[in-house]
Amino acid sequence: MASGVVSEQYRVDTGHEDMIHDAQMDYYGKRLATCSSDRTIKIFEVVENTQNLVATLTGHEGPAWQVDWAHPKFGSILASCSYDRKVIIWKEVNGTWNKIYEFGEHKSSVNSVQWAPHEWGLMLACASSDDSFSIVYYSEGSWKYKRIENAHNMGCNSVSWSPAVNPGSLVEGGARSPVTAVKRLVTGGGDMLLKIWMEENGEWVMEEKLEGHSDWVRDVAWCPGIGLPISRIASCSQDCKVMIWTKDETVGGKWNSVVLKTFSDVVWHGSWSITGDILAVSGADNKVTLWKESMEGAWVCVSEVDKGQEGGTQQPQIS
Amino acid sequence: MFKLVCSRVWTSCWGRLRWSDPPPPSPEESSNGWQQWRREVTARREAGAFLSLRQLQLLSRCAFVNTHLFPQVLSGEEEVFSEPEIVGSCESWYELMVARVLFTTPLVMSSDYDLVYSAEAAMKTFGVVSPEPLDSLLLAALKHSPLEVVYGAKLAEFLIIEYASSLLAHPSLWQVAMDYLSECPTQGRHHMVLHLERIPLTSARKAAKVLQLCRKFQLKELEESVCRVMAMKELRSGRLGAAFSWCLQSQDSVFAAFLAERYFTSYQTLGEFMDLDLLDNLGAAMLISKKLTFLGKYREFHQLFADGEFRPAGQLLVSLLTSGVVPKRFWLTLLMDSLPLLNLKDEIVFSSEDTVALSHCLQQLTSSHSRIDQSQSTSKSHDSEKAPPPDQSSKLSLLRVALCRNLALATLQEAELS
Repeated sequence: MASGVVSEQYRVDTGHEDMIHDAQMDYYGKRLATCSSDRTIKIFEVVENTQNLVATLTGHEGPAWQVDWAHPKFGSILASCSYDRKVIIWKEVNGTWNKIYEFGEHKSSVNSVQWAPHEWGLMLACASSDDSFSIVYYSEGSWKYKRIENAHNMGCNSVSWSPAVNPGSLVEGGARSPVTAVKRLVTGGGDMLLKIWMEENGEWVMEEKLEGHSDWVRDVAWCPGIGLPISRIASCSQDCKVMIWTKDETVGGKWNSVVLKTFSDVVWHGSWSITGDILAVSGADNKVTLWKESMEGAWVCVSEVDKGQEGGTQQPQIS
Repeated sequence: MFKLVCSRVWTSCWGRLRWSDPPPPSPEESSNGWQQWRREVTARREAGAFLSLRQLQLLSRCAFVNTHLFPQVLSGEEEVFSEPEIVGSCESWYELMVARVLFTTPLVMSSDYDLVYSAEAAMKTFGVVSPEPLDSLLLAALKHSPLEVVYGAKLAEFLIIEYASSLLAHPSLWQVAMDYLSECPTQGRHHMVLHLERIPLTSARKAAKVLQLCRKFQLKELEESVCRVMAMKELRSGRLGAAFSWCLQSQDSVFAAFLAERYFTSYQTLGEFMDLDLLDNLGAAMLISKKLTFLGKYREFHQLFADGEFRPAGQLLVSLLTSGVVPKRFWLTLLMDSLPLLNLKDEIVFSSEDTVALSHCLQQLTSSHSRIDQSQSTSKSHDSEKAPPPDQSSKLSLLRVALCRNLALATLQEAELS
């Protein structure tokens, strides 16, 4: 529902036995994957306002923190990461889900996982509490990985890929902006920093360091781009603030930040809509809020959803 | 009332300057006239001529309007426009600005920056601290600043995109949303592509609707993508012919080549063609991919053979092999197809030239085979098969024999004829 006003909400009873940490809808919005502290991942088919359980995936030995769907051109593929230091890649073949790869090179809990834009192939990034993040990719018939050590001092909490389009390519014309060859991603860590990494000659190097938070950065989300010369990242932190970092190529290309809002409690997650105009934020204050940038550049809250349950909301999802 | 008095006094003074009626005065003349007017009015004011003006006296008595400033206004003195009485009589800053410009510099051109200066000064005098959108718009228009005047257009686009996004949530209104998005010049197309990509293609009808929109807005890449998704679905269910029909809808040459290869591989394994009617009715669509052209022509060859037209069939086969349209891995199949033609008892289908061409192809095939296996044996240390495999080598020897025999017979025949 990519609208400025939340029109409908549905409750999904997942049947998980413990806290749910993440819920993600697939590309077409037909299926929902949820992961939980009960170490399972459940997949539902969503039709209108009902859902039915299609599969329960077991294999993690600890709470599963995040799931992410790959682009449908690769088939039905899901990645999950967990406290058990593993990232598992699952694939659906003829209606049954199987584990196709298990990545266990991290020495501590893997906190976040995200597939790269499909233009760069079947590739994902995962961030771990062992201060490193890895890029896992499928190439020439096998799974390979690159591990980037000492990315953050107190663990990497979150990772987000940049969009595959070049900022500024929209104004140059053409229906589809050309795909950029330079891969970038942003990580957020316990050292209160956001770091932007880029791939150079096959190696990942830090391009920028963004300071502004006064406590652990819990989630980072790079706004999907449509080719306008503006890059934008949202970061959520333990210091109860959500910050929006903007880089405008037309005015020098430096990252500037603005505080979206200081909430009353820890902010856990932020997520952008597919066209990048709405940001959903959720935190320990039990609320999910939707934010939109007005014409003058101010961020306005367009909707608020009160979950009303103990423990706060962890992951809002906009599809 | 003030304006009325001014216009009366103005007209009378204007008349005294005795300008010719048509044509309108040139800029220099106007400028001179204006200067003269100013000088006259100032002189008369200083001489006290206005003090006894009946209308002004009337005004000051009846309407409690303080008229002592009117003469100064008429003579175009700048300072008077900052007087609280004058400012107070204007409803907004632009009224003040217009009055000021009218009386001080009436001959100003819109291209002069003076207008902007006057506007800003008027705004300041009026006490406008934070400009309203209308104020900024007017100022921008005076500055002829395109970006800012277009603020209006940006706003329109923003609103349209907002509305269209809300429509997308509705299951049947997404097509209407696309029409709205097409009206947005800068961001509309991207939003369209992003949203159309994500419409689940649950049925052929829905896919057809999406395709229709793609064609309407010329989203060629998306059209190809949708057709590929639908074709792959058909392919997974084994319906190669249906997959082809989706592919041909978008004229996707890359995918057509892929499907043609699949088709040919299935022919090689099954020994016969599937979904013949599609292949027979390809027509001009054959040309979108070289591999598809080959497939169409190959089918034609089989038809000619079946109809007993051996000569044309043979010619077609030779032309296919020599044209470069056929990928190497299918050459053996085609050469094997030439065997029955070579072994015909009563007819010589291939001329000596054709036979040489065919043998050349055969030679290329065997030499490439041995080359591949040589490289394989150097890269792998374990035993590799002696190439070509036994059944293939027997095929090749059959071919060689047939080709030699045909060459001999053809040469003889040609010698006889000449």
